[in-house]
Amino acid sequence: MDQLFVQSLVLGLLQGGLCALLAVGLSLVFGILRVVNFAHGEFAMLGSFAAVFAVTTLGLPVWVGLVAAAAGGALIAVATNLVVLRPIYLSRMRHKGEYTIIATFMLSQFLIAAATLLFGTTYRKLPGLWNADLNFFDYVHVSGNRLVAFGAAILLIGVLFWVVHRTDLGRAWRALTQSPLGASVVGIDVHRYANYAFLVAGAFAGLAAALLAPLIFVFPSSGVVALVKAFIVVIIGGMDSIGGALVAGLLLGVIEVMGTIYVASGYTDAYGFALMIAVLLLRPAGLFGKVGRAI
Amino acid sequence: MTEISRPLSRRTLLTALAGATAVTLLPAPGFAADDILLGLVTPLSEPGDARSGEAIRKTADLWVKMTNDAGGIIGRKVKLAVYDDQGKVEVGVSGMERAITEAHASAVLGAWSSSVVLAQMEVAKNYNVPMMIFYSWADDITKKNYPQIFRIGPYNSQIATQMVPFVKERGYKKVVVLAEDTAYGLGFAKAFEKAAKTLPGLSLKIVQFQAQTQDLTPQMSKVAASEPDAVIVQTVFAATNLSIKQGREVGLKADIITGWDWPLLPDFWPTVGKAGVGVIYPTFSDPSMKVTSVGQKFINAYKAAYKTDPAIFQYYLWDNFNAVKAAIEETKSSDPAQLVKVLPNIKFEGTIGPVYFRNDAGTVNFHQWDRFAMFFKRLNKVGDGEAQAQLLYVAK
Repeated sequence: MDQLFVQSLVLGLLQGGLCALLAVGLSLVFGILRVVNFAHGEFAMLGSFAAVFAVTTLGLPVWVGLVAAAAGGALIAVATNLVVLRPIYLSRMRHKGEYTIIATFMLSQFLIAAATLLFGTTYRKLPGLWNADLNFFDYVHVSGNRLVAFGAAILLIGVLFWVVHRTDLGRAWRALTQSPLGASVVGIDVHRYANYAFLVAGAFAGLAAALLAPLIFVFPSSGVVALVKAFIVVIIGGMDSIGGALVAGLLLGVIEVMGTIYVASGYTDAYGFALMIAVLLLRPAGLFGKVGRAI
Repeated sequence: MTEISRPLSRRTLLTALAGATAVTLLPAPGFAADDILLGLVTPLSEPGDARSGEAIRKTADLWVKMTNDAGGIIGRKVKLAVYDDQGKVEVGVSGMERAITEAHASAVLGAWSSSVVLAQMEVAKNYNVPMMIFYSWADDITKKNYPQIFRIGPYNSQIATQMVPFVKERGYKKVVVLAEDTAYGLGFAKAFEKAAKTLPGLSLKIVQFQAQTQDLTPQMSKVAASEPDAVIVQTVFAATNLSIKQGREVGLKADIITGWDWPLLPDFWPTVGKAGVGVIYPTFSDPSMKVTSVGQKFINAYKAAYKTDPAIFQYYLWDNFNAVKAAIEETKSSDPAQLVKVLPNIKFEGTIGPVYFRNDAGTVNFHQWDRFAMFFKRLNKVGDGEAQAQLLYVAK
């Protein structure tokens, strides 16, 4: 088999795992609350800054940095739900969905500007857990940090899948996706479980960004590209499917890397968009999306 | 969600949105009628090259302060009207329009990205306002021969021509140009492809990528698989560092030649680490470069103000401002049309030597200063800066 093909496939899968991790939080929140969250990328960005602060400023170990990233992302996500979104979806307004889109988009712009003011435009890097360039069979080259990131992404998505399908928290979330009113009638605290959804979404976003940070860089607008990838993944996988997000993430990673290497190197993002358009045309609910509501 | 407990009125929501919008907008600038207004349209936020924009802003602020402290120009105070172009063509054009029509700028400076400049030039031409360029390299900027456009700084085809002897001297047979998909990146790639035709036996491949990318691993895998002797990277700071780090990650063994002053920025080594060892960078600056008294005054003032050395592109920007100053002094007027008339023949002491424009109509050397040398240097160990870098070659 062509050696470059193997390298491309490995890179694509590794990259796709991280796209999926970024996207599952978006998918979770949409599935439960029907909120299209344009500030999701900034949860990731702020999480990665929290990790950089913990590791490079406070001198804490890298794993503590990852915890800080998850905590930072979760904190900002819950605050977003409480301060920005809850007043909208509790209001009597029509078109709440549109208002949440506008509000989260403006919040995204605000957070980028605030991060630029606070942290400046300097690019930062986070040390990884496995800082080694690895070579398999003499032609597959990957960094240890990329393998760690992929492994962590798959593990976390697996844990989330288990939580959704095997725990009371997951049952409550699934009830909310079916009918928020019905869920509240049977005693599920809607606001509490909405907060949990945002907490998990923010934590996953922050963690994904911190796992990516040793591979790329941390800067105030780094969440913008992450958000675009996450949206493509949830649209391809189905707006409310965690399993779909994983498959779509892997597919997106492979398509983008293969397209860049074998078709043309200057259109990396276009391959993902082309795939998304094809899915929308052939299967508008996404590859794993359902007509009803589910997560 | 169907529970209704705390209704939010539309008025409250709209007030909150309006408030948030208001705090993100800059206050409209106010200027005295007697002030000389200069427009500064530059990238101050992402996705533009905000790091360079910050350096541009600092240089401009310093020049204005020093000029006003010395009594202004023809007895009038100078003020800046600053607009953020965000590295976007449409925002840059809007900023240019506003600098000219709102602030009535006598000249516009600070432009950075070639792609943005090529669109802004049309605005400068329509309003007949001088536009000063310093580090936007697309040949077309001066090749279009617009009377309003002046460049004190390098350009792609000359840089490419100067790079060819270096490639020959190093004995490279297989070269890849990794270029961002902008007028700056692809402009250089095409210029180098043309200039390299003088090197028989050289295999050249161009690999382009999206300028805003955050992961170059696929492109670098493709480059590494072609096993080149050298990779010339033509992009700005973030992608430069990514290409080095990720190129080594995927097994790239070739020499990496990457411009231009990015390896001297303070975040180069923290982000690249040991992958930066062996990187060759061409630059227009070297400790051996002769600096004039004007240049020394600038360097001293910059160090005093910002506790760091200015980069070479800031020297060129300083000369841009001084060119406008010289034109105003010569015409005793801040009328843009008058400045457009006299600027082609302006001569003054620049930061690294006398500055004057070549006015070869029909060529890229129209309203173009081209007296610069190019130095090729290698970083031999982690933490190397300009003083420690090994000088490999000088192209003049």
